[in-house]
Amino acid sequence: MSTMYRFAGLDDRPIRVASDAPLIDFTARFFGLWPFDEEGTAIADLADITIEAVDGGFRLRHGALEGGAQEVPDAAEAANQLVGLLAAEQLARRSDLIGLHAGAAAGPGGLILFVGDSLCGKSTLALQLARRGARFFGDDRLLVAPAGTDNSDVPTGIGLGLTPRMRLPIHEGAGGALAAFVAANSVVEHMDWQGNPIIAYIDLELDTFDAAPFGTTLPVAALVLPHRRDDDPDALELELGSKGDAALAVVRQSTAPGMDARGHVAAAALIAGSVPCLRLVYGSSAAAADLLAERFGIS
Amino acid sequence: MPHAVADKTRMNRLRRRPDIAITALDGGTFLIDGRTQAIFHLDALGGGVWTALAEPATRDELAAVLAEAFPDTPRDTIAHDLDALLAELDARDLLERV
Repeated sequence: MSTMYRFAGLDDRPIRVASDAPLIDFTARFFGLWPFDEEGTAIADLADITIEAVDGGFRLRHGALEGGAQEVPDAAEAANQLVGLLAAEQLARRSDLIGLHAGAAAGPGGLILFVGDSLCGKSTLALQLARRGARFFGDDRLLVAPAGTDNSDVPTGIGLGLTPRMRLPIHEGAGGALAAFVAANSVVEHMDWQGNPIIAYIDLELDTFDAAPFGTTLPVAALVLPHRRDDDPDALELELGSKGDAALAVVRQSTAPGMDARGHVAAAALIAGSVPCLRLVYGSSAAAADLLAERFGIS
Repeated sequence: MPHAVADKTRMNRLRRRPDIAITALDGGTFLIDGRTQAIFHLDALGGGVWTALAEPATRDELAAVLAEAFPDTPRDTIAHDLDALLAELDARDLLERV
């Protein structure tokens, strides 16, 4: 018998998930500070997302999935995929928002968004800043209102409160302090075929740094496009970059299901046009975070 | 492939599709194909070529315009970059032959 879970939603509209998978078991691992509770026995017709047990695993259903459905081998993967579907459902309800793949941390002036391709260090930089006193806003994705929200007419980030994850081993340039922090505050999630840990999630329930819960909104203060130099550990440069490059990065790293292509580009141009866009070249994320903390008044 | 397409485009007068939406921002140009909802991005050179293609022009005429605009750039570099760009725009159905 399926359980109906009620996840917090924007505008006080919860997202209902009818699930055969025990989602409560995966709170710390995936949902972090995105609150949800059990409502009782599920009525599938009332659910926005369904997770049903099938031979060999679970089948998720939501309009954002290709063909409307996806099968996964176990409950953990169902919970993992649900994260994306919750964000997709939120975007389906709000045509004024885009979903941005970015790391984010907040200083006194607002959100610093790290936008770029995979492995450029978005997650690490956001976590490094959080350890220096910034408010952690996300390591992987957030929602952005390009034209602002009710309380602001500047681009605004909306946190999802998701559990941050780190690839292991921690990059050498991140410094021993971060590696020690991750080791002390994370739980290994995946091993490779040789039994080496490759992904760990930071347990937000340990409450070792300030993390924004679901629905927290803050104005965007800056876009930072990181370029990691693995060949030069001493590289460190932070300078004003091209707003065109920043807009392109936003387009490439975002989804905007509620907008047509022209609207999507306009949203990216609005975000990039509204805030400073910085180019960060670095070899050590620890040194980069120190520089960013100084630049944005984080302590 | 780009060379073969450039041969085809060299003699034709080309023009950008008038229904392609444009958003220019700080050295880059976004093109939006309303038919397919595809988004393309052009750098400064590409944006300049796209601007020039508001009116019909042959490939050689475009090359001459670029050579004048970028006098310090070797002509063969201009030719190579232009041919690659035109091939890409053509492949993505963003151009018309007039």
